[in-house]
Amino acid sequence: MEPVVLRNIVSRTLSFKFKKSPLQGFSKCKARCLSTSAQPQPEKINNVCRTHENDPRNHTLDHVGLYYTIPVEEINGVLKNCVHPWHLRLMNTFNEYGMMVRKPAVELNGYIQNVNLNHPIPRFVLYGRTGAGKASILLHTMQRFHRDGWLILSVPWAGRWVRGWYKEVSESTYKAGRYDLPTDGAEWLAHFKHQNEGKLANLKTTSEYIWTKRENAAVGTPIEEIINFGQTRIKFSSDCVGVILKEIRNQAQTLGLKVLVVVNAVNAFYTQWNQLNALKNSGKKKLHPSEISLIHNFKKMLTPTWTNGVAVCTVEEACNNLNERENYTPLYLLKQEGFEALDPFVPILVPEYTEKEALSTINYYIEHNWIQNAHGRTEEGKKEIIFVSNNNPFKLYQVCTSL
Amino acid sequence: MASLHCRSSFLFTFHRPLTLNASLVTSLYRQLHTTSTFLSRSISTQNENKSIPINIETSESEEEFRVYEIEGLKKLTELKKSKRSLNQPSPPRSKTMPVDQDWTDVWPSASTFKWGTVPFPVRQGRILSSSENEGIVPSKYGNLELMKPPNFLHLTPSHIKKHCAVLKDFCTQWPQGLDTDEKCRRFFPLETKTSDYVFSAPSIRDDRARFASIKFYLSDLKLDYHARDKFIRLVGDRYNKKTDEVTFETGRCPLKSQNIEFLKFVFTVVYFESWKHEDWENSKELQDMEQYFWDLNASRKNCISLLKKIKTIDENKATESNRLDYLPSDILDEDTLCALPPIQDYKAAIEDLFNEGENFQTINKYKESVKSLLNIQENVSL
Amino acid sequence: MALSSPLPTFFCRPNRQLYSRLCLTIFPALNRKVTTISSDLVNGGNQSVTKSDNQPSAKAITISRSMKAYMEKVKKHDELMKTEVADYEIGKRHLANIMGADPDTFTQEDVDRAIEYLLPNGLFDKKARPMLKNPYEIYPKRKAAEFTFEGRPFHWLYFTTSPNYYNILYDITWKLEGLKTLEDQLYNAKKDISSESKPLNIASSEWITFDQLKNKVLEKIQEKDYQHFIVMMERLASHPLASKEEEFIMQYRNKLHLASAALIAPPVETDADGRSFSWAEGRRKDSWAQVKVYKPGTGQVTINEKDLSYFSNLLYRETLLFPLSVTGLLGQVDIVADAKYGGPTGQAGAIRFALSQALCAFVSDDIKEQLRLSGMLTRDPRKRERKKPGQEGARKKFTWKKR
Repeated sequence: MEPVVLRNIVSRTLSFKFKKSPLQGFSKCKARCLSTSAQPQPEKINNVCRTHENDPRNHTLDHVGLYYTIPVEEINGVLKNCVHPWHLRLMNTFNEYGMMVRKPAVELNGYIQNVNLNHPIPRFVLYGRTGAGKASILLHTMQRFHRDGWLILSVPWAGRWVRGWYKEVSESTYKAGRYDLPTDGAEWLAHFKHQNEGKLANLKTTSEYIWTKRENAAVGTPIEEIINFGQTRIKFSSDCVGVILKEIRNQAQTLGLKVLVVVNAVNAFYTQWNQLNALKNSGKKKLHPSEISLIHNFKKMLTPTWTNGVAVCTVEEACNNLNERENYTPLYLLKQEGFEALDPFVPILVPEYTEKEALSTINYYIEHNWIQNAHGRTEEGKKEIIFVSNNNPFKLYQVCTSL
Repeated sequence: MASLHCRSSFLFTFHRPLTLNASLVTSLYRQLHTTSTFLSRSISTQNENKSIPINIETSESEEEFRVYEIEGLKKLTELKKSKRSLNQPSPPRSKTMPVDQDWTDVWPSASTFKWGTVPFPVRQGRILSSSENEGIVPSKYGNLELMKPPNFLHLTPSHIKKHCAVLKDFCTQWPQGLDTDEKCRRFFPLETKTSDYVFSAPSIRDDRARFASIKFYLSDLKLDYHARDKFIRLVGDRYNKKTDEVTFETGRCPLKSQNIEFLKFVFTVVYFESWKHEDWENSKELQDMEQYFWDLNASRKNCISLLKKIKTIDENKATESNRLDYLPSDILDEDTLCALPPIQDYKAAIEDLFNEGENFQTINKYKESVKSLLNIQENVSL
Repeated sequence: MALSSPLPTFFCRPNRQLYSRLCLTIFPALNRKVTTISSDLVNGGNQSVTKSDNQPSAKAITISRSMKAYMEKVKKHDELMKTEVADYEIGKRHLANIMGADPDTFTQEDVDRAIEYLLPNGLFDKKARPMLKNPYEIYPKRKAAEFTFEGRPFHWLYFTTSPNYYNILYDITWKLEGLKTLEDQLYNAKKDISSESKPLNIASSEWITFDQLKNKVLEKIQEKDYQHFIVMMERLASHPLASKEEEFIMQYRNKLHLASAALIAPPVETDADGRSFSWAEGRRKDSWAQVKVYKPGTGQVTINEKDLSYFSNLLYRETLLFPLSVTGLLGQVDIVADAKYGGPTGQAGAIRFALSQALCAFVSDDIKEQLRLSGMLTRDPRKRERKKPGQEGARKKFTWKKR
C-alpha cells in the first residue's frame, strides 16, 4: 500500500512515524498510534520554542516568545471557562497546555507587582486587534496572581451579559428599573466559586440581607452560603453577586485580601447594541447595559472607591455594533462615557506577533505535528505562513489548521 | 478673402506653364482614374504602338484571324459610350504649389479635408488582403474617410503664431511683482470664480453662467478664538478644515455681477456676526463645545477626588513605599493641584487624545502621563 | 497605379500549344540584352533574369505575346512608382513646410507625428488611420519574369506551376539522400555517428508558418503543400547527421524568443529618502490598483494605508503571496498598494497583477519568465457579463412553464 494512502487513513497527528519507515507494517504503526497522542519530537537547536520555566512568577523579558506549560489542574481550576474554546481544543489535541509568554503580560504583571495596594485600585486596559492575544494575557496574569494567593473576580466575556436570544430577563427584586439575568448570575457564582476554591472561608457578611419574608442572611453568614443560595434560588443570583462584590470591596482592606478584577471585553458595559441584538425587557424595550444589575454591580468594582485590588480589562471590537468596529483603540471602543468611567487607566497595547514569536509558534506546531505539509516545515514555508497570517496569532492558527 | 485670392493666383500659375509638366500631371491623373478598371490585356493592346519603344512587326504567318463583321449586328450603345470622355477635370491645385509657400494662406480657417488642396499624398484605409484594392492603401483622391473627422490643418504652428500676434494687442501685461503663487495669494486673498459658456446655438445665453463663487483662507481673516469658532459654525460645511479654505457659492440672482456682490455681502455679514457676543452664547453646554476641554469635563473632577483620596491615605501610612511624592503636604484648592506638572502633563495628554484623535503617539503619551500621575512603576527585574 | 495580381493567370497555367502560338518575332538588335525588369520586382527563380541570346542580328526573332504584355506592364509600373516616389518626396517637403520644420531633416517619425497632429483619427486599428509612407512600403511586391523572350522558362521546374516550392522539396530530398549516403559510409567505416556530429538543436526554434512559406516562394500553394513541406523537413531534421545541414534547415525555422524578454520591466526609481522602488498599475474585473515595491525592505505590506488585514479572507492574502514566493522576494521588499473600485477579489487580483509587474524590475530574466508562465504578467480579461433583455441574467433564462 502507498504511504500516502496510509497517511490519509490514519489520524493526521501520527503520520510523522511513516516518514521514518513508510513501508513498514501498517498494523504495527496503527496499534502504536491509536494508543498515544502526538509525541513531541526532539528539539532542534535553532527551533527552540519552549521554556522550562513553568512558573509565571519567574517570567521575565528573557522568556518572551517561548511556550511554557500550564498544569492541567489550573486549566480546570482557576482558568476554567477563561480559555477560548479554539485555544482549549488545540491544547487538548496537543495533550499539553502550552501558552506563550508575551511581552504585554510581563509588563502588566510587573505593574501589578509594584502597585501600592493601599491606594484606590489602579486600572489597566488591554487593547489590540481581534485575535492578537488579549485574553491569553489575562490568563497569564490570572494564573500568576492566583499562585500568589490573590482573589480572582473574572468575567470571561462581558459581551455575554448584554446579548443573547431567548434569555430570561426579569425585573430586579431589589430595585425597580433594573433587570436581572438569573441564569448568567448563577453561572457567574459557580464560576467564581470554582476559581477561588479554598480562599473564601474567611469571608463573611457584615450586614444583614433579606431576600424574602422567610429567607434572609444574617450578619456573619459565610460567602459560600450566599453563593449556594444564589445557585439554588437563581431568581436572586444577581443580588447575590451584588452582595458578594460589595462584601469583597468592603473587607478587602480589613482582611488583607488582594483582589484581581478581570473583565474581558469591558466595552460591553458602556456601549449599547442596536435594536436587533440588544437584550429587551418584557415590554420589548431595549436595555442599556447600565440597567442590567450584574453590570451595574461590576461597574462598581472598576471604580477607585476601594483599595487592595487591581482591575484589568480588555476592549474588544466584537462587542460593538458592526458599524463601530473601525478601530481597536480604547477611546473609540469605550466611547466618552466608558472612557471617563475608567479614566485614569493605563492602556497596554497587545501587538501582533513579532517574527520571533510567530516562528516560535510555528515551531511549536511543527513539534506537535500540527503542521504536516512538507513545505510548511521549510524556512520558505514558514515565511509564507507568517505572511498570510499577517502575524496575527489567531489567523496563524487558522492558517495552520489546514496544513 | 484670402482663399479667394489664392484661387485666382493658382489659376494664373496653372495657365502659364502649359507645357510638358501639365501634360504629365494630366496623364498621371488619368491613370489614377482608371486604377480600378485597369485590365492589363485590353490597355496593352490599345497602346501597343505608342507606348513601347521597341518596334514590333507582326509576322505574317502568325496573323490574327480576321472576324467578319456584319453591319448592324454590333451594338451601337457601346460605341456611343466610348465617345464621352472629352471633358477632362483640371489637375489638382496642389500640383502647382511651391514647397515654401505660406500654408496659412492656403488653409486659413477650419475646413473639411480637400484632396486637391492638401499637397502631401496621404493615404487612409485598411487593406485586409492583397485581393482587396490590389493590396494598395487607398489614396487621398475621393477618400471619404479622410473627410469625415475634423482636421487640424488650420491650426499649424504658423497659424498659431499669427493668432497670437493678433491677440497680443488685446492683452495686458502681467503685474511685475506677482511672480509666485504665494505672492498672488498674499496680495489678492479673495479668489472669485465665474464661468462663461460658449457654444453654437441660436441663443448666446447660458443659465449656468450666473453662478459665482468666492474663496479665501480663514487664516487670512483677523479673528480671535471666539470669532473664529463662531465663523466656522456659521459657514458650516463651506469651510474645509484640511485646506483651511472657505468657499461661498451662489446662483440665486439672475446676473453674475449680482451674485458676486451678494457673496461679498454675505462674507462681510458673516465676518462681523462672528465678532458679536450674544447672550445666548453663554448658555453653551458641554456637548456644544468645539473641542474637548479637560477642565470642564468629568475627568478633572474624578482625577482630583482620586488624588485627594490618595493624599489622605499617604498621610495616614507614612512609611509605605510607592507614595505620590509630588503632591504637596497641604492642598488648599483644586487649581493649585491642577497646576502640578504631572497633572498638567496628564491634562495635555488627554486633550490630545480627544482632539487629535487616537494614534500610537497620543495613546502612549496618555499612558506615560497616567503612570507618572499614579506612580505606577515597571518591574525592576525586567 | 495598380497592376493585376503578381502572377497573371496565363503565367501559371501554361498551355503548350497556346504558348507556341503566342510567339512573336522581334528585331534582334533591340533584343540583345534585357536586364531588369523592375527595381522592386523580386527575383523569384534561382536564375538571373539577365539573359543574352546571341542570335543572328539580321534575322527577326519571335517574342511571345505574353512576354510583350508583361514588359509593358513592368514599364508602366516603373513609371508609376517613379511618379509616386516623386510625389512622396515633394509631399514630405510640403508637410515640413506646413509644420514649420526643416524639410531636409524631416524624418519619417516627424512625418508620422505631423500626420497624427493634422489629421487626428480615433479608429481603433492603427493601420486604418491616415498615413504618409514611402510608396515602396505601400505597393505590394511582385514576382519577376520567369521566361525568356522566346518563351523558354528560366526555371527547370517551371511546368510544375510552383517551381520555387518544388525546388525546396527537391533540395530537401537530395540533402536527405546525401546524409543517408554519409551515414552508410560511416557505418561501413565503423565510425561512431554520434562522434561525427552532435544532434541538431531545434528546441529553440520552430518551423516557418504557412504564410511565411508563401511569402518565401511567392507562389500559390495550398495548406496540404505546406504540410508536405513540414513532413519532409521533419524527416531531414530528425536524421542523426542533420547538423551537417544545419544552415539549410535553419533557413526555414523561426527563432523562438523568450516572451518575457519582450516585456518591459518598469524602471527602478529612487524616492526622496533615497530608497529605490518601482511601481506599476494593474487591473482586474472592475478594480484598479497601483503598487510601489521598495527594495530593500522588511516585508511590510500597506494597502490603502492599512496593513494586510485590509483583506480579512486568507484567499486574498494568498493571492498577493504568489508572485512574492515565485520571485523569492518574500520578506525582502516593502509593498505600498493603492486599490480602488470593485470588490476584494478584483482588488486582490489587481494588486497582484501590478505587484508582479513591479517586481520584474528587481528580478532576473529567468524569474521573469517563470512569472509570465505562471500567468502573473497577463491581464485577466474576464469581466462581469451584462444581463440580456428577455432573460433572467447574462445566460440564465426565465423559468419555462408549459402552462
